[in-house]
Amino acid sequence: MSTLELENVSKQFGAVSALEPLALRIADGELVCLLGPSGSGKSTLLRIIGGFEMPSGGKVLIDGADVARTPPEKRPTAMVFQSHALWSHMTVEGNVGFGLKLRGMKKPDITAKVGAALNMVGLGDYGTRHPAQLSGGQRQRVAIARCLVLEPKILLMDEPFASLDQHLRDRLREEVRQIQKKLGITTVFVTHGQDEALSIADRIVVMSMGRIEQVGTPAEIYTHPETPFVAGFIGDMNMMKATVQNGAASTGGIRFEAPIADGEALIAVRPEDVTLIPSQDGEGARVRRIVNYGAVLKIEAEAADGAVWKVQTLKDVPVTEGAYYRPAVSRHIIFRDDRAVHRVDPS
Amino acid sequence: MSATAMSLRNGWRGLAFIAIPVTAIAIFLFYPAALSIIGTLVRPKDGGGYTFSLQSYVFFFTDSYSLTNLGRTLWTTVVTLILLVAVNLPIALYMRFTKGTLATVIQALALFPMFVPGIIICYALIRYMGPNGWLQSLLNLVGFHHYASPHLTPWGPVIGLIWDGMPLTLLILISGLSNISDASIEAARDVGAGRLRILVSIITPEITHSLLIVSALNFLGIFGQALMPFMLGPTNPEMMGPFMLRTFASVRDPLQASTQATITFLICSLAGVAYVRSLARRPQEDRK
Ligand SMILES: Nc1ncnc2c1ncn2[C@@H]1O[C@H](COP(=O)(O)OP(=O)(O)O)[C@@H](O)[C@H]1O
Ligand SMILES: [Mg+2]
Repeated sequence: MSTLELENVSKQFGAVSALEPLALRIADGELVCLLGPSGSGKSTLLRIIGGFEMPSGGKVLIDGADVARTPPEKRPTAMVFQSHALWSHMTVEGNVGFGLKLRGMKKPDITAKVGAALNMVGLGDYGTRHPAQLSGGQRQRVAIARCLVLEPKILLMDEPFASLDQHLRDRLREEVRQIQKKLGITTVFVTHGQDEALSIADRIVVMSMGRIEQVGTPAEIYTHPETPFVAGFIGDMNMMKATVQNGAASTGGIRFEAPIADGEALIAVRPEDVTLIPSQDGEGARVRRIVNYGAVLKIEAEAADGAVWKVQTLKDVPVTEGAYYRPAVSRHIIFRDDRAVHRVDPS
Repeated sequence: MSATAMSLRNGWRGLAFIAIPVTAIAIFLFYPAALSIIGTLVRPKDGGGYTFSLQSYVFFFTDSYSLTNLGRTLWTTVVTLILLVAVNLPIALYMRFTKGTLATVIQALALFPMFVPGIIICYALIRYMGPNGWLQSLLNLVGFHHYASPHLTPWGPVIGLIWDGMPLTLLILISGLSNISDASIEAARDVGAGRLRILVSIITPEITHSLLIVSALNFLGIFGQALMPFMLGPTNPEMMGPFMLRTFASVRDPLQASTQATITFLICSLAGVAYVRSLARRPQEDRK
C-alpha cells in the first residue's frame, strides 16, 4: 500500500528553472507515465522522487512521510535507468543480489530471491552470465529484476527502453505492465513516446517546459486535451487559427459553432473526426496526398483558404487524389488563451 | 577474387607495412640484447673455444651487495607504486565526480611534471629538499631545526620517481574512471550502497584493468630507472640502474653489468607479461 504525493515540488539548476512548483498524487498500485518532449523536466522530476536530485522546494511524500531530503540509498524507491547501469564486473546474479547482500541477507535467501526475480523477467537461465554477454533488452530486464528483488514501494523507470528497437520496446513494455499489475507496485514511468504512454499508463502526466500541462487517463488526455500543447503533442491533430464572430468561426471551409466572445481562437480537430464528402470540382477542399497505412488512409486536403486538413479514414472509403471534397467535422475543441473553452462532442 | 585470396593479399600488404620497423627493432634492439644475454651465459674458455657458464649469475646471487641493491630496487619500486596509486586515485576520483574550476586546476598541477624534463626535476628536488635547501631554510625560519634531508636516503628516489610517474598514472586512472557511467554509480546508491561501499564494491573492481596497467607500466619505468636515482646522487645501497652504470663505467666489469641487466630485464618482463595479458583481456570485457 504505497502512495506518492508531490507538494509544490520545484527545481532550479543555477539560473535555469527545470521544474516550476507542481503537485501530483499517485495512488497505490497505479502506473503513471510522465510524458513530454525532451527537456520538459521528466527526468528531473523522476530523479527528485528517487532522491538523485534535491528539490529546490516542496515535499515528496511516500505513504505520507516526507523523503525530500532522504538520499537514494535510504529511500523505498528503485530506479531503472535508461542504460549503462549494470555493474560489468558482476554476474547477472551478482547485480541482482547486490542490494540484498548490503541488507545483510543470508546467502540461500539471496539465491532464492534472485532466482525468483530473474524468472519473473524471463532470465532464469542467465544468472551466471556477465552483462557484456547480454543483449540490450536482456540488460534492461536485469536492471528491472535488480529493482524488483528489493520490493520497493515505488518503482521508477526513466525511458528504460528508449535505446531498443521498436518491436522489442513494445514487447518489454507489455511485460513490464503485466509484472506491475501482478505485483501491484506503484510505478512512475518516464517516456517521450505517446504510444508508450497511451498503451500502458493508468494515468498520464503531460509535461512541457517544467510544468504539468494535464493529468488524466489516456482516454481523457486523447479526447479532452485541456491545452493546445496537449492537443498537439498527443496523437495527430488539425490546429486551425480562426476568428470568432457572433458565436461562430470559419476556417478551412467549415463553419464551427463557437459560443464564446468574439476574437482569435484555435480550433482543434482529430484527423479521424473529419469526413470527406464528394463535391464538384473547385468546391470544398482538394485532396493533395493520400498515404496508405494498411488499415487506414491518411489524407491531406487543401481548402480554398489555404488551410490543409489532415484526414484519416478507413481504407475502403473511396478517395481520389486531385478530386474535391467537402470536409465535415464531427468533434472539435476551441482553445483560447491556452485553455480549452468549448468542446463539441456528440458521443 | 575469392575472399581468402583477398585476405591473403591484405595479409602480405600488412606484413610489408610493418616490415621496416620490425626489421629495425630486430637489428638494433633484439640482436644486440640477445648477444649480451648470451654473452653472460656462454664464456670464452682459457685454452680457446666457448663454454656454458652460470658463473656471473652465481656471483650476483651470492654477492650480498648485489642482492641488497636488488632488494633496494624492489623496495623503491613497490613503495613508489603504492604511493603513486595512493596519491593519484583520490585525485582521479575527485576529478571524475566533481565538475568545476578546482578540478581543472588540480588536473593541471598533477599533469605539470609531464612537461618538465627529468633532469630538471632532479635538480629542483636537490635544491628544494637537499641539505641547506629551500625547505630546510623555510623550516629554519619558522623555528624548526631538526630537518633531516631525505635527499641521499632511500626516500630521495621515491620522491623523485613519484613526481616523474604522476602524470601517466593520473591519466590512466582518469581514463579508467571515465568508463564508469554515472548511472551505474547511481544504481548502486539506489540499492543502498554508501560512498565507501561504492568505492570498494563498484569503482575499484571496475577499474582493475587500469590499476593493472598503472602497476605494470610504472613497475617497468621505475625498476629499470637509471636517470633519476643517478642524478639524485650516490646512495648505498643503490638501485639497479645506477648500479649497472657504475659496474659498467667505473668498475669496468661489462660481464657483471650485463648480468645485472639480464636479471633486471627478466624481472621487468614479468611486469611486461602482466601488462600484455591485461591488454589482451580487454576487448572481450569491453564488448558491450
Ligand atoms: N544537472 C543539471 N544541470 C543543469 N541543468 C539541468 C540538469 N539536469 C537537467 N537540467 C535541465 O533541466 C531541464 C529538464 O531536463 P530533464 O529533466 O532532463 O528533461 P527530460 O527528461 O524531460 O528530457 C533541461 O532544460 C535541462 O537542460
Ligand atoms: Mg530525460
